[in-house]
Amino acid sequence: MPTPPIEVSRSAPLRDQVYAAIESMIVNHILAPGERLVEADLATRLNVSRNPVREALTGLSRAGWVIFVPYAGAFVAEQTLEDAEECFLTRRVLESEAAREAAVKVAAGDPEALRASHALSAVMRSASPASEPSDGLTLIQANACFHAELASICGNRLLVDFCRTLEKRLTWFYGAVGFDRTSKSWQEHTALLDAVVAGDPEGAAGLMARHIEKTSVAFRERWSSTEAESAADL
Amino acid sequence: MSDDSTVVRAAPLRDQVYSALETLIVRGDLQPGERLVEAEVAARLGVSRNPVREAMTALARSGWIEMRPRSGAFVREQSSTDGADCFQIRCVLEAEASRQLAQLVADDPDAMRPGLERLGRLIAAVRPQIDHAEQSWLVEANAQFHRLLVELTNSGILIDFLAQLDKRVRWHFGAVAVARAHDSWREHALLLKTIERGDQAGAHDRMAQHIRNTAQAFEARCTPSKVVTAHS
Repeated sequence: MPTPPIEVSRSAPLRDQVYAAIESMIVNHILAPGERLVEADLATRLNVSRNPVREALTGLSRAGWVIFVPYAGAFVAEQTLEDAEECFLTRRVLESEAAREAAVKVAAGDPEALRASHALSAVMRSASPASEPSDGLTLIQANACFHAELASICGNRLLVDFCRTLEKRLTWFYGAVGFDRTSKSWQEHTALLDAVVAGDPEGAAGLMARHIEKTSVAFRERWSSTEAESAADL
Repeated sequence: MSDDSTVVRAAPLRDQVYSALETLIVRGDLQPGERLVEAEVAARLGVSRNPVREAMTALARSGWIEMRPRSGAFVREQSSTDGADCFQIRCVLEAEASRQLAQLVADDPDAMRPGLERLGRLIAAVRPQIDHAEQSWLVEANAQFHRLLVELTNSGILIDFLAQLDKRVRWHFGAVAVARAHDSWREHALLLKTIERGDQAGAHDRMAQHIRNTAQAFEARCTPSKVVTAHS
């Protein structure tokens, strides 16, 4: 593990750290969808007092990760196919726009966009799906990482934040069904990054839209087969 | 502070101060570039300086306030880049919302009729008022139209993302609300007609054009020097 960078500024408030910790446990299925969340247990687990846990849970419910059920308490949200599809639809339009804007910036010679797109190209060339560890979660994270890096080239911070929120949500959905498009996804990623580096806005946007469409079709198939399997187990 | 047995807990003071300051900024009561002095804000809101300091740190994190070393805290200046970033996302998300709404209408016109009628009533109520309406009223009416339209899609993510942008939109839209009012509501009416026909591509494009028009009006309002800086 690399050492974390030394924090120069004041560290984030405790409630924000607790929020991030619980969010990450949910995204990575350490806390399962539908699992009951007990304030005191979480406080013990994270070694903090109950106050920041309570504040974090309120914030997480606003963001849709946690559901408060009257007289029953707090629960991790359940996953539904409808929610996942909504995610894919929104992600398609937002990330296509981010890819288009990234290519526009590259074509205009924006130094930051040029640097970031070439850096990402170099990372893509030095790694390949074969050299990646085949751990399911790592692949899901590598995929999310590519999308986040690509989106960040566009320079619109709000857009990048929204893309990141959706990536987290999709990482959560993929945690339930696994990820099986590695080599196809890799080729599509490479092609659309090439379009960004070439400064081709319509090409980049079109490739991103098609890539996400294909991903969502594959996701739907895995979701149905996972549902069929769990039905067979009962 | 409240104890565990209280059922309804009041929001912590720093959150209340945060909301109060945010509202003052969004409405333009605190002007872009205005200096914020902790003690004065505390006196104005009738609270101590601690929650003001915490709220100001949080406002700086969310971009409403700019902390300048050795000179203090200032309300963020409106820049054409900020506005353009915000309008770019709205354009994408709201065009998608309009498309989805037109699709819902095409799939089941009867189910969608009450919602579309609400949009129609809002347009009919607002248009005759435009000439003698104040800026804040126009900003509110515009926010209502766009929120209602997005809510009719029933897409949790679109609703949530656009709600997160709502304050920024109001802040930026305030600058052009009066100048754009007649054109803007004519565009709303045309958009609604397109949605009523269930025309997905048309609804998408009309909304995109509507937001691009506002974005252009906003950009023209930003001082020329700022526009030059943003492009240099």
